[in-house]
Amino acid sequence: MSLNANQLKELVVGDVVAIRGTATLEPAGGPGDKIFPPTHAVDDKNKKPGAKYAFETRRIGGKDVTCVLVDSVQSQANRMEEALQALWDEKKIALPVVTVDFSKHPTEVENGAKKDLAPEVGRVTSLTAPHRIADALLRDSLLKDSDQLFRLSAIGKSFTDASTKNATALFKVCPTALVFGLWDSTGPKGGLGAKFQRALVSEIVGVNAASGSRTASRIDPLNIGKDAAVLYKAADGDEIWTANADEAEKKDGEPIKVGSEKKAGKPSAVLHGNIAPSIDAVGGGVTIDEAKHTVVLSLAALRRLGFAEGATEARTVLAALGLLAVLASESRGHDLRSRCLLVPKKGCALKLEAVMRDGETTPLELDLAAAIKLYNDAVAALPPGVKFEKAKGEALAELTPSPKLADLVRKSRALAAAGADDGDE
Amino acid sequence: MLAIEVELLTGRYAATAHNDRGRAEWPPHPARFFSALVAALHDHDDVDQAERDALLWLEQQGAPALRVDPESKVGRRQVQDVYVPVNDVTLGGDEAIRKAEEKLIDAKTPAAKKKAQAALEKVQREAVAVDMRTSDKAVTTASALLPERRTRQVRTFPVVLPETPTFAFLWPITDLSPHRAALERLCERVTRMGHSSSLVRCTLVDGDLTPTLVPNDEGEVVLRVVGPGQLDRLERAFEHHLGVQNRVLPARPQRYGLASKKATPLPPVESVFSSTDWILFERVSGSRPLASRTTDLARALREALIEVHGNQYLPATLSGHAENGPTEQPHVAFVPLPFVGHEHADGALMGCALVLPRELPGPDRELLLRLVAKWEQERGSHRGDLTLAGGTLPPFHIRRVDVSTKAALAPMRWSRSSARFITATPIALDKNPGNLRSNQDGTARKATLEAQQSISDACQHVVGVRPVSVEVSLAPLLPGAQHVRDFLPWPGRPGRTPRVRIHADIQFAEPVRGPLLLGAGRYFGLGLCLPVEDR
Repeated sequence: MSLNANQLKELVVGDVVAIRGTATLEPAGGPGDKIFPPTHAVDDKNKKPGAKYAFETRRIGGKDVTCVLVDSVQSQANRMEEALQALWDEKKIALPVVTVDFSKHPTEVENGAKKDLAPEVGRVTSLTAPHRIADALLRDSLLKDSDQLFRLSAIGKSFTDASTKNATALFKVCPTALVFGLWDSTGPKGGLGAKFQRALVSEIVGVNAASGSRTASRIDPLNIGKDAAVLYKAADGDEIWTANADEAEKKDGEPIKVGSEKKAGKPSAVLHGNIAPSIDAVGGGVTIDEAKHTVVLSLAALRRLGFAEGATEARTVLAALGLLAVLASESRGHDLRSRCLLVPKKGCALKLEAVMRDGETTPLELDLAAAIKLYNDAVAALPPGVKFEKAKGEALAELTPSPKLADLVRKSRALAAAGADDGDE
Repeated sequence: MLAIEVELLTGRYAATAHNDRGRAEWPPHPARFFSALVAALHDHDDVDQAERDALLWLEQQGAPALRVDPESKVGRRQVQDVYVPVNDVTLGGDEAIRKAEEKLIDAKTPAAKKKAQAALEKVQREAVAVDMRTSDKAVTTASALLPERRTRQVRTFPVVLPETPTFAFLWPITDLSPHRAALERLCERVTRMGHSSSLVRCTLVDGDLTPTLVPNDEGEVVLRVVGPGQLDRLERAFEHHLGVQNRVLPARPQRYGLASKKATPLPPVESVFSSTDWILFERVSGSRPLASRTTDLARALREALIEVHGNQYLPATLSGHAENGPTEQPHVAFVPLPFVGHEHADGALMGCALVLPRELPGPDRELLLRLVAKWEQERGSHRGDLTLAGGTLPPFHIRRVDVSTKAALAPMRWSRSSARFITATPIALDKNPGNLRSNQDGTARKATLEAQQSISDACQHVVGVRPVSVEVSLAPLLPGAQHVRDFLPWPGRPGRTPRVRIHADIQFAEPVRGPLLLGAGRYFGLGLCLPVEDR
């Protein structure tokens, strides 16, 4: 029997400390196939194989087993929020979401339609922004069709004073902040701003990991040699480079070479030519026997949140939201990054259990469809004081970049395109 | 028995060691757990009095025993740098507006109000309107706001993965009835220990659990524990840091050792020097002298204290001088501590210690502690760093520590009981034994026997028993230790005969409790012996 809203409410109110889920995964290419875990910055001098990955030793069956972190707590949280975003976009759930759209310029028009601003950034929401509803991007944006900066608007002000003792305002504006954690450290109260610890922790670890090597090379179909010609920056804006020094952009009377430093003037600066083969052992992937996915939703942590009213219903919604996030992310599969696709091992898909105060566990049944229903039922049961105002898929507030911010973003993109931006390379 | 069990729900414990940001803490420190209970106490604005009383009672119960996986059964994750996006990139518009609004409220006269209103409107316009003269900084800020290009800051997340995901704190209390219910309520509200990703289940358990780690002054493991007054201390500190600023957990260190079925009786043979009463200084920066400079460093340490003391009378137990010359009774030894005895030991001095005699009179001890405090206050940098320098010794910066992560600076490393000791720094012999390097038949052998006898006498003097065998050598016998020829002459003062120095491997019949400091230079770092495993 699938868990329903009433049963979840019982768990939230009762003696259940947490809901834990475990799954065993394997590389999509089968056990023994290579996967690429997340990399970390290492000193250039460090040539130890696999130095870029976060290896660890685990005690399994009384022995030391080398394992590797395949997806961190923070990365998993981001994925779960993205999964919720997708469900919300499909209008399947009602959830307070604040959005800001960077794809179009707020004011300037061209040919009857709004000009493009930063389409690759697109729409950023309180689910996808790095610091959720407290993110600087939302803070520096305006309520749509108004001149008010977000944190000075009624909605923006409402959660400034939220705390664990009274989380009502934040619940109505960004309930995911109460599940994944939030620290409004750069808002009006600075470091003393709203601080909430996460209640949901998810991590994927590869078991019995051995690091490998990776090769890289490129054969140029045109077979352009390394020093075939000296190339310059083109004065004509539409061209990028030219081999003719007269048509080049000039600085102090001298033609500027395309590219920078060592590559200046070479065809490789504009991506022509061969790349000599190399073997990378520092970040050459790992082989694993299997990967363990562990996710824990602490109901005890949710019980520590205080509400002005409807505490039990609000906590039930948060628990349901947490479970929904887990299952939604699960259903999207674990395509973690390039060459890192994991699938559940046969018979080992995500299993949930309730962990009691004394350590005993009881299995729970829940799939994505049931989780969506569970969440919607819990939301419907919210009393007036904590109700979600908007319908499924409808934003709580839509923001636009201020003209000032839009102008600066456009200028920075122009600089980036001209190659002078330090961020590239 | 009061037993509180903690289960690591995610199977991992993410807490940074208090004295090493690059390392995860294990075993979990009782002081950290007490702080979690205090945080749970303050969940509600109205603190429950019964719960408060329970914690006031708990802090009086002393250091708990632990039931926890030992280091050998614990896996660790490599600590890698993780770059997390920051949130303090901003164009600052809303802050400026808020300030202008406050000014408007504060304005008293109609004229001031009008001015403030105009200023507010100006700031409001500027916050959103396009700036005609954009600065490079503003452009960079705007670019850094976008999620893909957000500035990132380095953080580390040290993580430990124990084989058993549960551990427990145990107190030998038979009756906890007045506080049981309150403690249970508090434990229910402990949802994490350490980093927020270390979600836990915490509960009182009935029945007796067997401890694996118990408080033991000879133990190798040091954990932070709480004592009476901790709750008050934490609450008062919170008023300052408000859960936001960097702070250090007030706690006291407690040594723990493995719980064993029968208590090992303390060996009856002890050194005249105290095995635990040491004042430790850890090297923080400056030169990295090797053990061969030990006497220079020891002298510099002594000079520093004498200088701070001024010209007043210092008791013989501290200065080593009675009215008519050097005193016979044991006095404070100035001992630089080298890194020796490990596979990768390089013999570098990791710090130094003032090793007090076991039977140092109370007032003399007080005087010494006051002297050290005075030295820190008058000569210490704002971070508490002190400098030792002098003669040919380049400046060596140290800081006093209660407990250090460096193995060489753990008193137990030098003081634990053992039947066999090997010199880390050579012993300066009281009497010249003869020519140890002689090629002539018999001379070297005779000198060796003399040297062995001399060392045996020294042992008798310091620990009261003679060794069963002494092997001597001019070459070092421990990894990291240095050849005697690398050491400067001792005493190295004009008119004083330089002593012959020699390394030794000393075997006793029964275990002896250290520290073993032997020979003429024992108050100045020579003759420091490391307890090692028996052959």
